Formats: sequence, C-alpha cells, structure tokens
Amino acid sequence: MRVAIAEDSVLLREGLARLLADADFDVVARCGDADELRRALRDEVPDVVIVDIRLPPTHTDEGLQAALDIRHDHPGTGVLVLSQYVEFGLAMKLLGDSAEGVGYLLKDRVSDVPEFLGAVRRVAAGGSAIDPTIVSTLVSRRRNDDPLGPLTRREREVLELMAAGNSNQGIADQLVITVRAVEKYVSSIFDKLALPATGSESRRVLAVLLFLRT
Amino acid sequence: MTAYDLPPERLERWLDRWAQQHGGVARTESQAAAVTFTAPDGATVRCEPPFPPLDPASAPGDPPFAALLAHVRRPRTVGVVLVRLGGYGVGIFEGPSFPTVQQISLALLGLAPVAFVAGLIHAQLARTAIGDLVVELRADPADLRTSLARALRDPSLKLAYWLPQFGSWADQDGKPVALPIDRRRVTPIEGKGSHPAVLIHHPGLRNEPELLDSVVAAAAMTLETGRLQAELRATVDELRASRERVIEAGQKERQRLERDLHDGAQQRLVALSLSLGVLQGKLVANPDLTAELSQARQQIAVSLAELRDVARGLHPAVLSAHGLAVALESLAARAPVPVRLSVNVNGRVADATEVAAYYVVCESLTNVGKHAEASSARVDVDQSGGQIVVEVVDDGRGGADSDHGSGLRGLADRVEALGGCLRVWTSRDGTRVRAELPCA
Repeated sequence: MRVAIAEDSVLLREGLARLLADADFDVVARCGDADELRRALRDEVPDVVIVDIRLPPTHTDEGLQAALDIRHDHPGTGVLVLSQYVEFGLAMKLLGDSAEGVGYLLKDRVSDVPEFLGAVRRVAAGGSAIDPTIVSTLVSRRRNDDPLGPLTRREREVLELMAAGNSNQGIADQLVITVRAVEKYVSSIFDKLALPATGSESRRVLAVLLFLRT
Repeated sequence: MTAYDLPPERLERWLDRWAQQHGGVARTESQAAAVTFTAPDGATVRCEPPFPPLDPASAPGDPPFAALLAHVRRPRTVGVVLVRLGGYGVGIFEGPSFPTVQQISLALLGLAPVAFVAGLIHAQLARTAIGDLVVELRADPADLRTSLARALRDPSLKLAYWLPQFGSWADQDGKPVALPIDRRRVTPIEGKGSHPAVLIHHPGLRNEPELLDSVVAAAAMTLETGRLQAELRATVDELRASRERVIEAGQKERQRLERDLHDGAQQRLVALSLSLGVLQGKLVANPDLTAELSQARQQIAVSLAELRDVARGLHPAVLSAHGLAVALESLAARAPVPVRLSVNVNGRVADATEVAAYYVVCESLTNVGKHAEASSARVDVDQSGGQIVVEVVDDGRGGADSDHGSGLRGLADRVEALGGCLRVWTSRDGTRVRAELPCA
C-alpha cells in the first residue's frame, strides 16, 4: 500500500515514515509542505496521503486546502488529516458531502500504533476515520429533548464507534461482541433516530454527524 | 492740490486702503475732488471738499470719516451721517462743477431712505444672528461650531483649538485640524484661557468685519467650555486607540504563544508518544514493560489534552486559519446545549473583528452553560451595512450582567475598543447578548 506524508515537523514526519515502513507500507513521498505534496502526487498517486492540517508557509489552512484539493482531484486516494486539535467545523468542511476515503484525527492517535495503522488502511480503502472526541463532544451535550434519549447505553457506544468510521467488524472487535449483534444494534439505532438506512459504512458516518449537529 | 494737500494718487491709495480696512469701497472722482464711499451694507456716501484736516497716516477721526466709520460700526446712524454729509456738500463747495455736485448730492439725499432701510434690514439680520448666537451660547450649546457657522452664514466654518498636550490644533471633536495657509481665512479668538483658538472661515467674511468681530467676541465667552470638550474628546479618542492597541498587542502575543506551544511542546510530545508506541509494538513479548509504556503514553495523552486546552484558551487557531464560520461551528458543537447557528459573513474580515465576534459567542455560550439553566441557544452572525452583528440568545432564566460578570465586562472592553457596542438583555425568559462590530 503506497502512502505519501506531508508534515513539517521533521521529528514527526520521520517517525511516521518509519512506523509505516515497519508495517509494510510503501512510503512514496515525505513532504515538508503542501506544494511539495502536490508535486509528489503528479509523479505518483498513492493509495493514501497523510496531511498535517497546519503546514508552511502561513501555518493556517494550507494543509486543509491540500486535503480538499486531493479529495477533488484524486477521488481514488484516501486523505487522512492530522491535527493538534480537532474541530467539528473543520470535520464538516473536510467531509463535505461524503465521508468516503477521508480521515480526521488528533495527532496523539499515532501513538496507538495498531489503531492508527487500522485507520490509515481504512481510509486508503475508501472508509472513514473521524476522531472519537468529535462525536463524544456532540453526544455529551445537555438537552431537554435529547434525541438520543431512547437509545440504550450499548446503543450509544455503538453509535459513537459508528460515527468514528468503524466498520461493523471493527465495532464488534472493540466491544467484544459478534458482528451479527452489531448489525442488530445499528438497525435499532437507525429506527429509533428515524434515520434512513444507508448501507455504506462511510455514508452512515456523515448521517450520524449531521443528525448530532442539529 | 486736492483735499489734505496730498497728490491725487496718494490720496486715492490711502482712501482705498482705509475703505478696505472697513470693508467698503472708496472711489475718488477726478483729481480727488470728491470721494464716494460704499459701505459693506451697500449704503453710499459722497464726501466733497473742503475736507476737514486729517492726518492720512492715522485712522480718520474727523467728521465725515468719523461719520463713515460710525456708518460702518453702527448702521443705524446712517441717516444722520447722510444729513451731515449733505450739509457739508451742499452750498459750501463752489466751482464749475457745483450744479452737478449739488444734483448728485440731492439725488443721494433722495436715495438716503432706501439706503437707510437697506442698512437697517442688513443690520437687523446681523444683530438677530448675533442675538441668537448669544442666547445659544448662554444655553451652553452642544455644538459651538454650528452656532457660529449659522451666525456667520458660513457652513464651511471650522473652529480649532490649540491643545498643548497634543501639540496640535483640533476641532470640537478632538480630531486634528490643519490651519489654512491663506491667513484671510483665519481669525483668532481671544478667550479668557491662555491657549488660543481660531475660526477658519470663508475669506469673504473679511468684508464683514463687524459681524466677524461680534461673533468672535460672543464665541470667546464659551471658548473654554469648547476647548475642554475638544480636549476631552481628543483624550477619549486617544484612550480608545490605546485600548485597541493594548488588546491587539495582547492578542498578537497570545497568538505567538499558541504557535510556540504548537510547534514546540505539543509536536515534541506527539513525537515522543509515537516513539513509545513503536517501542511498545516491539516489546509485545514483555507484558510488564508494555503496560508501563502504555501508562507513559497515557500520561503524555493527558498532558497533550491539557496543553490543547491552554493553547485554545490562548488563541483559537481554527479562527485565524479557517475563519468565523468554521470556528463558530466548532464552538457550537462544543457548547453545553444544542445551538442553532447561522453565519452570514462574506469571506474573511479583519483579525481583531473576527476575534471579538468569536469571543462574544464563546463567552456567551460559556455563560449559558454556567448560569442560565438553558436548554438551547441561538447564535446569529450577520454582516450588513459595514458592520457585523453577533447575537446570542438563550432560553434560560437570565441573570447575565455585564457589570458583574468579569467575562462580559472584558467582552464589552474588547468590542468597544473596536468602536463597536455590546448590549445584554436579561429576563426570566432568557438572555440576549448583542454585539455590533464595525467592519470596513
């Protein structure tokens, strides 16, 4: 699996590259800024790019802009955005109208190596990886007419894992239950929230985020 | 030889100058045999020899000229002047042109009532203007300049005070004023105070010295009040600008700190955590070490979370990088209650304005969580007519107060420093915070 990295901190860039290489990824480009990444993509289009949201020269939106451009120009390439902070507004901007092949994670997540590699593979394969803090913040809001009220505790757990982009298998592994059980929870959640069933695992990410936003 | 034994050209020049000094026009007839003087109000007086003795170097003080002067100073005496001049003119002068002179004099006498009435009307108008001015000034006018401009019938009139502590001339609003190079447009006002003030007016007002003198005299009465007002306003402007600079400098400093944290401690901790993670992967065979590494990673994660909060508190990086809409969407998502958000802003606006708008929403939503017992809130941000209006409304039980809550007070400072205003309404049905921020 070919991967390109754009990260201006040398320490982190090289750490990531080594981590990925050790896990048998083919690191085709290591870039210090967004322009370098764009040039690299002209030579070779990888399966997934990992982009720091804050890149030179202004350290403002260069990384996000590059991510959006790549999503537009290379729909087959997964885009995983890393950031020191995750913001719901940025997640919505990055996702646009589809969560397919897109990830948005706190940089801290790289230290949980197996989890992180799982997220990279998922995004490369067209799935999604949304930082769990985004969903947990939305879910923890106090409200009188809580639309999540009818959900059981287990269903809430499944909802959060689902919104983070986990597959049914992934949810089953984390909760140590069967995939069949996960499927039952998912369909019950969609019923209770009156959401139309989506089928696709990345489409349900967006559906849940949009539902929680209101 | 002519009157006063002066060569005609010299007499003409002298009379011209004298007439101009008094705002009128002098016209000498052939060989200075007679002088026609037209006063500023249009009244005409003709003087004929023998002129009374007069020292041309000094101001004229003898009967015809003194009378003319009186005509200028006190228009009501014009009739008397004419009669007396008539007395001088008719019958005394003898010579070939006498019948003509006599006819002209008689014609002048015939015209006298018209000139008299015209003079009266003009004088009346001027007096009324001065009278109104004095009344207005007594009533302590809010705007001395407008009153003076009305009295002088010069809408372009400016009033400038010398403000020693700023080392500059300033208008009544405390804004700097440059004095015109044309000195005919500048008339000093002698007030009781030690610092000068000037009127900057139309040069034509030089032709109405009496009016100008009276207005200046009236203005002098309230000059000090006006100066204090100008000083106060200049000081307020200075304070506002300095408050804006202080807030901006603070903001820049916080932004720099946030950046330092991001590029320094945060990056290093992430890299360290990554190394530990990699190490942990290589030590699967040793569960004790793995558990310890896991614990270390956990502690780094807590530190990173704390640093993130500090960094966010220092400066909302998402705002400067991605603008109000994205930053507010994130704020709304983090809010303790559901928020209905609507942002209508055309692209990016000035940093300070964005930051102020952001903090208005941030602080208001924090208050909603802390005090209001609200179940929902609404945030509207609209850009229109050169300003951004931010409104945060909740359905709680009210109680927000910009005088007691230090957060709201700080917000008001920030908003006012930009020339905007912050208002808070609170009732048992909820709280409404509204900030109006100018944006160019």
